[in-house]
Amino acid sequence: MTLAPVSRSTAAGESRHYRELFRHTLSRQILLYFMPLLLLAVFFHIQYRHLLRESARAHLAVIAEQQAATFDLFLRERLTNLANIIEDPLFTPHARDEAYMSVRLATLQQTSDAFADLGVVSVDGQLVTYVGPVTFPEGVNYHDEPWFAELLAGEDRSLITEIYLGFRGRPHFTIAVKRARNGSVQVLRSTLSPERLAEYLATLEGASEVHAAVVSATGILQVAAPRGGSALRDSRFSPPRQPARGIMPQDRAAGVPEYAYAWLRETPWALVVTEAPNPAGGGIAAFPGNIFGITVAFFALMGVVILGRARQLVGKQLAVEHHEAELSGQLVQAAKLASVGELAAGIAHEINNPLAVIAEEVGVLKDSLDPALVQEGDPPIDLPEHLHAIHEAVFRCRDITRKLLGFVRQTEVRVERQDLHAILDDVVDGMLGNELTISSITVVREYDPTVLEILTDRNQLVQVFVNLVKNAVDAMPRGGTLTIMTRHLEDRVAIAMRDSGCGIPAAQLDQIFMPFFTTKEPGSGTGLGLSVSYTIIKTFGGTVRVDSAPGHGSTFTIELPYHPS
Amino acid sequence: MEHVIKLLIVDDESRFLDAIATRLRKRGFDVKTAGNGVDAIALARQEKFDIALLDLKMPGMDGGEVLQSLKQEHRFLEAIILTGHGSLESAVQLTKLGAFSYLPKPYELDKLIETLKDAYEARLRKKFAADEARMQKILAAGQAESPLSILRTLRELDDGER
Repeated sequence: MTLAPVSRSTAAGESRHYRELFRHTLSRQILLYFMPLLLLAVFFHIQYRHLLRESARAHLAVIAEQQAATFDLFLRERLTNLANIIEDPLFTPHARDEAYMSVRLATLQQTSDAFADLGVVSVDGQLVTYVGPVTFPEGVNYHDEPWFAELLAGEDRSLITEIYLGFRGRPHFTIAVKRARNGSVQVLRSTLSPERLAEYLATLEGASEVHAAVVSATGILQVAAPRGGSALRDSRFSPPRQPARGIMPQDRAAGVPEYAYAWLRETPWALVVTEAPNPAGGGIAAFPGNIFGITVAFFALMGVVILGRARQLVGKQLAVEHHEAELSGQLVQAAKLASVGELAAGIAHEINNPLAVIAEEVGVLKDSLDPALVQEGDPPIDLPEHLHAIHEAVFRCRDITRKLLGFVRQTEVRVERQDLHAILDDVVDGMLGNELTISSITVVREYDPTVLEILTDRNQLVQVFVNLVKNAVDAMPRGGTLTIMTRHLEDRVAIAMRDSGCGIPAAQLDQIFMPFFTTKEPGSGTGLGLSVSYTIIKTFGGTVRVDSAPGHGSTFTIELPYHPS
Repeated sequence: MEHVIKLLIVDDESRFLDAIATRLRKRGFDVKTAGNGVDAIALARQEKFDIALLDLKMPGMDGGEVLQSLKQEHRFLEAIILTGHGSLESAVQLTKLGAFSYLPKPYELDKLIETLKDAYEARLRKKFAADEARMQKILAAGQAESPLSILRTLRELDDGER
């Protein structure tokens, strides 16, 4: 038997079918569950980032503002400190007293260690008295210094310079106050140490979260905290004058990060803060990272669940398919048995008739032996003639039972080369020949001689033809013509059976292939014939089609591949 | 002269037809045969029959059609359906159409003669429905033992009353 390779390829086909089904189910599940989740995750992630960004910016702006206010206050205090000295009535008498000034400096430094020294400058710019760490060469005169001229000319009584090198050659701030008294002007100046100011800046609120810097209106860096970037250099920051405080977006081209700024009141400086990179990696900035991790973990979990679910679904699907195939197989078997039942009634007639012949012939012979019935002058009985009739009838019965068995016996599928026309002839001449004759149906054969041999299971195909022919017979109760046509079509063969019967109403056309659909009286038809024929042809990889109109007969057309796949 | 019961047997099986005709003739029936429905109807128009034996499944006209046609043309003709078909429904159907009875093939000859007797009785009952006295005789004849002897009695009663 050549069934083994068939079953092997079926197993391979099954595993391929499983993989395909699994892939489909999995991708469907992923699309169904992952895609919305992913979109949602991305959406929330972006929203969250945006919110975080906004809150960080607001935070930065608040820090800039607070630090600016505090720094402003600090500078004002320093100016007040100096003003207090110059306003002291004792100042004028001691203007040239170094000891007095040393005591004043000590007091100043107690207030703030930013004060480095103290000097009294006469109205012509001459440094009159100086106490502090710097040893100046003789004859320091500020007359040509911009700050000195500005202070004398300006309305403001005090001034803080931008950071500059000055006479001492080191970056520092000069803080100076003037006092006009008795027609003469006195100026008291001090130096603010950039280091101390930087230290101070580093102690302000929020200093740990940011890099803070003080820049001049021209963007020159004054002080930075934590120490970074050297003073006197261009800070790259150029906050606008208006509004007085705000956030400047990142400028990648200039290499300037996003920063918040607030202008000071005492000096034309701006306090600039940028977000300090978080060394610990924690806090709010790193939170999205966590979310990403959690999301990935969640997706992985979902993936496992979906994988499991897909497996389960595919398992169920396969079970259903298997069950369906089993049912369909059972249906074919049931229909076979049912059609055997239908056949049996017809076959009973075929057998009972020769039996009746036998009974009568035997009766004639018995009569000839019965003295009561034998009369004088009766012609002698033709014994061989009667025996021959009996013999003939017996073998008619045997042929019928043989045919019936041939129809039912083989349940296994046996695919072999078959001559289609021989099968058709067998059905209309042999099995159903008597029925067709009795029903006064003429069979017209329009066979296409180019039709090739077909690879098929003879019994199942016979079952289909028997069903179709029997339907045709039922459709022509008053006799008619059954035309059987075959046609060679490249890789297929078409078999058409046209009856001249009553036809099928359009409303029933799409029902006739359904199991248990029958137009016959209850008990006389099972409604399985066509549905089983349909199933069989489908398993052969073929198609069944019906064209019919009431009163114009029906044509059933089967198309079969020469080689079922 | 003794009245002979006239039978018309219709069947497409010629061997069967010949054999049964032979046997029934031996038993005193006047038997005519027809191979199909059309011939049977034509024959029935030529001569009067008492009982028709009809095969159910025949090419051309089937037993049912022949039955209807015969019953229409011959009021007192009784018909017995002989059939090899196992279906009881068609038999019931035919009884409704006017068949006296039906016998499944193959049958025992005695059973056939019994049925012929019953059919003939029925025919007479119909014919002499109004005649109570004859009816009594017919019923008395029913007491006898052999179907053939009853038939003989009945034939006497039917004599000349066609």
